Order: sequence, then C-alpha cells, then structure tokens
Amino acid sequence: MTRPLDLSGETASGRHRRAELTFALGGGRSALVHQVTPYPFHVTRPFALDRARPDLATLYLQSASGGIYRADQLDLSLTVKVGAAAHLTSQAATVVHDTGALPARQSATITVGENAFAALTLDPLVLFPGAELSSVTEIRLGAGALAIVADGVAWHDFSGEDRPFGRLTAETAVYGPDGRLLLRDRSEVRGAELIGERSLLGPDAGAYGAVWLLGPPEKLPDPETLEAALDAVGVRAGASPLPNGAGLGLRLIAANGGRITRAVEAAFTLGVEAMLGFAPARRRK
Amino acid sequence: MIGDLLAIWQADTAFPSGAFAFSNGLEGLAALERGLPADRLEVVIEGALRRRWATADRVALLGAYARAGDMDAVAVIDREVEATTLCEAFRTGSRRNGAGLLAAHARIGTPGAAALQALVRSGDTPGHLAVAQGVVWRGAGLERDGAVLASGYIVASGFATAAVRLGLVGAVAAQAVVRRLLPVVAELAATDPPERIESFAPLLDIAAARHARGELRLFSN
Repeated sequence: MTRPLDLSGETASGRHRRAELTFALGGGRSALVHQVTPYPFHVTRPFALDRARPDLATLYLQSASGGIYRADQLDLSLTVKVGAAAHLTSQAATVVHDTGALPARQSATITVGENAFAALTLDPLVLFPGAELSSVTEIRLGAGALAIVADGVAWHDFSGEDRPFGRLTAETAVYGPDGRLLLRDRSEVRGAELIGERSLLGPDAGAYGAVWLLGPPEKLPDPETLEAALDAVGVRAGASPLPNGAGLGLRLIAANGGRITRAVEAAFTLGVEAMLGFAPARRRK
Repeated sequence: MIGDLLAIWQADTAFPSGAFAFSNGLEGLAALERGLPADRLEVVIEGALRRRWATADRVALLGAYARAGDMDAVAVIDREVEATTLCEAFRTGSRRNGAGLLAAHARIGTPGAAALQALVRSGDTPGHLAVAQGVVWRGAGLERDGAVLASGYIVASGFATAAVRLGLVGAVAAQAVVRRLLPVVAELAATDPPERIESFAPLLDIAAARHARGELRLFSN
C-alpha cells in the first residue's frame, strides 16, 4: 500500500534545495533559458505584463510546501544576462515555522548582467513563534545594470499570546562590476526585541523591511516622492543614498506584513518608472 | 590608573571632536514621533547601544585598535564601515566626527593621528569615527577595555545631551537615563563582539534619512 506524501513540518524539514533561473535576451524578449526548480520551489511560466516593455519577463515564485521548516536550506539563484529584464515576485507570504534547535537557512544570489534589469520582490516572510532563520542575499551588478530587491519580515503568533520568533540573521551584500563590495547590510535580532512597548521598532510595529534600488542617480526615484508614496499606504519609510554610489536604500516599518507588501509594490512601481521609463502594470496577487 | 584617566579624558564632552553637532537620529525621531518621553528615550538609546554600538561601532573600534600600526589594515576596516553604514546622514556624521577627532589628536601629537589624517585627506580612506578612535586612542595610551568603555559612554551621553538640547527631557532626567544605561554599556563591553559589523536600527535610519532633508534642523543628523 502506498502511503500518502506527508508534507507536515516534521517530515518536510531538513531539505537542502537549490533553484536556478537564468534569463537571456533573444527575439525581443527575455527568455527563461535555464530553469532548475526542485520541490519545494515552484514557478509559473514567464509573463509579459507590460505593454511598454514586452521584453520584461515576470515570474511568480511559489512555495509548494507551506513554508520553511527546521534545518531547511533553500537557495535561489537568479541570473539576468546582458540586456535582459526579469522580475521575480510572489503571490503570498512564506511562513517560517518553529525550527526548534535546528535553524533554517535561505539564500538568494542575483547576478545582473551588463545593462540588464532584475527585480526580486517577494512577499514578506512570516516568522512563527520559535522560528529561527538565517537569510543571505548577494547581488552582483554588471556595468550599467539596474536592480530592485526587496525583503520584508513580519511575525505572528497564531495562539494570540504574542510569543516571539526565535532569531533572524539577515545579510544583503551588493557588489559592483569590478567585484568590489558596495554595501553590506547585516543584522541579527531576536523576536523578543520586537514585541511590546520596548520594541526596537516602536510599540506598534509588526513588520519591517527594506528595498534596495540599485543604479546610478539619474535612474533612481526621488527619495521624498518614495517616502510620500509609502506614507500613503501607512508605512514608515526613510530613503537614503547608499554607500559607494550603489543607489537608494529604503527602510520600512509597518503594523503588519500586508502593508510591507503594499509598500514594496509602490517602491517597485516608482523604481521601474525611474529606471525603465514606464509605469509597470500591477502584479496581481 | 593612568589608563582610566585617559579613558575619562577621551569620553569628556569637553574634548573637541565636533560630536556635539550630531544627534544620531534623535532629532529626526523626535519629529517623527512628535516628542519622545524619557522612558521611550531610554528604550531608544538602549536599542542603539545593543544593536548598533556593540555590534558595529565597537567592532570597528576594536579592529582599528588592534591594527593601529598598519594603516593598510586600518583602511580596510574603514571601507567596511563605509559599506555597512547605509544611511547617508550617519555616514557623513561619522566621517566628520572622525575628522574632528583626528584633527585634535594630530595637533596634540598623538601617535598615529597624523598618519591616518593624511590617508583621509588623500581620499584613500573615509576616516570614520570608530576607526579614528581605535587608532588615536591606542596611540594616546588608552587600554583596550578603557577605549571600549569610553566609546560606549560617548554614545549614551551623546544621545542624552542631544535630548536635552532638543528640549525632550531636562538635564537631570537625562542623567538619570544615562545612569540606568551605564550597566548596559558595561555588560555589552564585556561580551565578545561579532566577527563582522552588523547593525539593526531601522527606526533611527528612517528618522535620520527623513531628517537629513529637513530645512529646520538643530543637528546635522
């Protein structure tokens, strides 16, 4: 007798999987020329959502397993070759379950070729009580490359007792065309530091995030316009020029992950307008 | 005994390093939150000590202190500080404070100060405050532990002084906050630093970024 596949936290945990997506310009579009998406990764086919730039491919990344579990190590490689344009987004937040004594790890490596455009705007992670995660994002920019990369985190205790997640260690590093480090944002925080009146983010915060708009100054949105757009969706935001001329960095604090999602959508829209010169179509969730 | 005195000398706000021009994001935060009562002020300073000073400034200070005789190695640490200080207002403030400290120590004749100042002036290295502290405090004869305590004290005291100048709290209330935070500085100073610079201060980053474009400002950041 065949047993049904059990995808509960216990048996779905401890996976080490690596997904690879490579886009290259050909025939007036950005074609997905290489795809490796082992379970639990799942992607849709590429869509051309923007009439102004049909060469901009948009893909939705989905987790097929219901989240990240203890001891998981999930790696994603996104490569956009010379002159191509690709946007990888998601349709829902990813839950990080209680990892017990075995923290989970995830990584994203984004390689943006010469004069290419890449965007990675996934919905926030939702850290459950006891979740411990290490997340590393590495972005390598070619000459004239443009990129928009967002990350966000929310936390939720389904029991309503405000139990904190365990720990989050996060690192984003950006390297220029000569391989030189342009910026590194590395942090470690315990969930208990983000709960209640003494929260490091302020007493009403339930989520935070960042958006990295990478490119030369003439291809970046106005910081005040960005902040005003995010004020309008109820998100505290501050935009600052990044070190070594890497671009513009946006910090976000919000009451919940849903607002972070809306803030990232707004920043993506303004970023694409400044970088590619058109207003992108809404990426439907 | 002289080690303790040297640390007190450098932590003294009378030392001309130019730090008084910076609120480390506090002015922006007070504007964002329309005020900042003493209990909230204490939470903010403690957060900055735990998740920025202990894990970022202290790491750079200790690295520069350990390699004070090797300016190439110091410059590597300095460039790491530049790449990891993501808010422009804090980068600028840290470089200006570093330049102020170097200028004072170069005039005093502290070993290492003129050499690092020359590197900064030639554009070879940005000259961030924590890195300058590591080099000149080693040259001035501060012991390692004294240098760390002086650095932590300056952060706590700097926030409190800025809060008084902004009219957020009275002078005595500010010193009560500093007194309550001294054990935090001591506790953090005794912990092992992380291997690499890390920082978690999104609220101050947001406040400082918005504040940097304000027209009416008392402080540079």
